[in-house]
Amino acid sequence: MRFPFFVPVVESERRKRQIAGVIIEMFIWGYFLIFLSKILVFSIILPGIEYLAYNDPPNNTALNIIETLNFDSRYFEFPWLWFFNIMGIGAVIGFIISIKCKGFGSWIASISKLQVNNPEDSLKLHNHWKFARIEAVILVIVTVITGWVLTNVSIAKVFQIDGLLGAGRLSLQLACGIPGVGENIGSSSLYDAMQWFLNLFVKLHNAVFSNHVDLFSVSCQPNDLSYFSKAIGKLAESIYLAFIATFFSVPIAFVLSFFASRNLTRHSRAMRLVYVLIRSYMNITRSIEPLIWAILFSVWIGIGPFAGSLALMIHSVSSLVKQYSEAVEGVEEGPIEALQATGANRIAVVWYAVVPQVILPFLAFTIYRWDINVRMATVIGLVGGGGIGSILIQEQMLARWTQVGSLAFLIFLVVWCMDFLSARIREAIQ
Amino acid sequence: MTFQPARDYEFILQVKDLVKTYPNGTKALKGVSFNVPKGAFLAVIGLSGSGKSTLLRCINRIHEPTSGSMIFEGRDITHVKEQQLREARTKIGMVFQHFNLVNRRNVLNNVLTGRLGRLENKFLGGIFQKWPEKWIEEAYQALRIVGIEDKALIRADGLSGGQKQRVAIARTLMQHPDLLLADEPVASLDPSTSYSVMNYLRDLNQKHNITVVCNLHFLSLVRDYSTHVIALKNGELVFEGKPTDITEKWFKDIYGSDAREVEIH
Ligand SMILES: Nc1ncnc2c1ncn2[C@@H]1O[C@H](COP(=O)(O)OP(=O)(O)OP(=O)(O)O)[C@@H](O)[C@H]1O
Ligand SMILES: [Mg+2]
Repeated sequence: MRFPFFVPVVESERRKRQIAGVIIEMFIWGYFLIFLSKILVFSIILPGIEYLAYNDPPNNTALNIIETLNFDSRYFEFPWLWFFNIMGIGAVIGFIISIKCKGFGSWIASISKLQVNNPEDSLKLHNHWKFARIEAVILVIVTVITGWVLTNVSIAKVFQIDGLLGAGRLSLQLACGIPGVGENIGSSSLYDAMQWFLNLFVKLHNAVFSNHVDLFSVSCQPNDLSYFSKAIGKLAESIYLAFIATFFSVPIAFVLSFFASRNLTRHSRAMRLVYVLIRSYMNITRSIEPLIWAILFSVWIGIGPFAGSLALMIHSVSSLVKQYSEAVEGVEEGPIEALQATGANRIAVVWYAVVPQVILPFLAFTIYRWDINVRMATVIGLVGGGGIGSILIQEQMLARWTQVGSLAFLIFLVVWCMDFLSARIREAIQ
Repeated sequence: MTFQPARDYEFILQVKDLVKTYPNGTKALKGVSFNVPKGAFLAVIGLSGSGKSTLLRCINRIHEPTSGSMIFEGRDITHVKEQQLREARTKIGMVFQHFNLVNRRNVLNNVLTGRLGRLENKFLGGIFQKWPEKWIEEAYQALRIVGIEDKALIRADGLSGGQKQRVAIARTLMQHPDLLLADEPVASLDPSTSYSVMNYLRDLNQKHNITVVCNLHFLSLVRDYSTHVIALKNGELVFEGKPTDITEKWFKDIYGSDAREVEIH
């Protein structure tokens, strides 16, 4: 029996967990096999052999292998049919394994039911899942290797000279946009100092390597005050947009959050349905980034701050409901029981026993959300949501990096202030 | 049955074959039957985990019983709908080991919540109504009965354990209950505070004519305060009688053969 027999559980629940365990186990072994074939064979071993085969003195055995297999990593695509077949084989292996062993799948599936009453059983439990633990370690290793391969991690690319020069030039221009950096103090400016500093590295490179490159010599024309005043106007738009979005999402989220808490919706089937509906709605809206909502609303309502704030609001409501309802799920049960025992109706129980317990966490989450919204409001303009982002995207498309630098600096200021403020307020009300 | 008044309606509460199985499979009550005469002070004793708390929570259906029935003041409340259940609950007060006050609100507000069962359900369960002046007066009176009127406007988390329990008692007083369920009301209090809280419970029992069903751990308290005793062991009723009937033999039966009686003074 895979579900530990000494853990007390109702029989039907035990069955459910065991079936879930088998299914998870099947997926895990499918994943293992796909890793072995797609990643290990076709993304690591074969490209490795290929590299050897076309190396300067070609390795004959490697060349032979590559030619018989007719493998070319540039054009190779893993066929979907193989994918499904391998997944299927993996599932069969997983199924067989989960009949025999107490694997990772059944461990995950039963993890929420694993409280045992006496200490001996917890020792037994420890031994029960030995195999599961080995599987978990393999799972982590496999996932790290896959991630490494899929993200094309390459240290060499980080240090190639052309890329470094480009990044240096761009940073110089961006820095030029920060007020004060380009102004002369005496004969030189902070900007000149930065350029000189970067050129030290260029000179070092030229001294060590044979491929000489030119020194940086980018001139800096700082933005004047009128540009900043225009930008600050747009910045204010962003801040207010964020505030409006937060302000109107709070009452909606407040009401919804009680229906989205497991502990308040246990008592009837209808309530559980409402719970599931709200949770699914939330997960759908939350998994779509505000940027995408902003695109949708800017098409619907037209480009401008209103579209941006609606986009933020949709996202805020679902994020707040999630955080609020977690707070509601964490309240003490005692007062709820006590008020139920007085014969109070359900709304009164929530209002008098739950709300006083969650009001401070709610406030903290709200302020945090406002903070996040201000940050988001600065980028939401990139896709037509109004605010400072809308000029940021224009400047960036014209490659006016000095202006982009100025705007980024303003955004930094606001984000920093908000972060400071919200941390202080949250501290004060805790 | 050891105590059996002449006529049926003299039982304020009749419990028949009560079974409670928790979702995780624990059988906390395995068919418990007993009757509570009107005006009794019934003590429920038994080892930790024997199902005492479960029993009390099943009586007012904070936990739904798995099977069996409860008849309260002649009415079967085992299967009634929420509306009638709430009506029955307004007549059954409850006091908890951990007081279960709303810590962030003041004492007066906590006491007033005892009346929530009588709140008129106008809009959204009536939560936006102000407390009627009369209720506030009564709340002060209830606080006076338990002797902490002066703490009325202090936040509940600023009180000591004994004071909290008295607030909880004042809260049930607001209900004007006919039956009071007390789940180890003194288990987290020191001995002398325990006695003072128990004295308040006895006052309710004798002066206000409230029947009390009280889980207790200390036999000395049982002997001092209760008029009837039942004992649970592993979810089953193993003793029913007067406190004076608990002999050495019964004691070993209820608490296991290694147990020794401890006194609190
Ligand atoms: N919510 C619950 N879910 C599952 N099992 C529970 C739950 N509450 C209690 N139990 C179990 O039911 C049994 C009886 O518990 P109960 O709390 O009624 O005992 P008790 O006599 O009040 O003990 P104590 O004197 O320690 O308060 C115990 O085995 C306990 O583990
Ligand atoms: Mg208990």
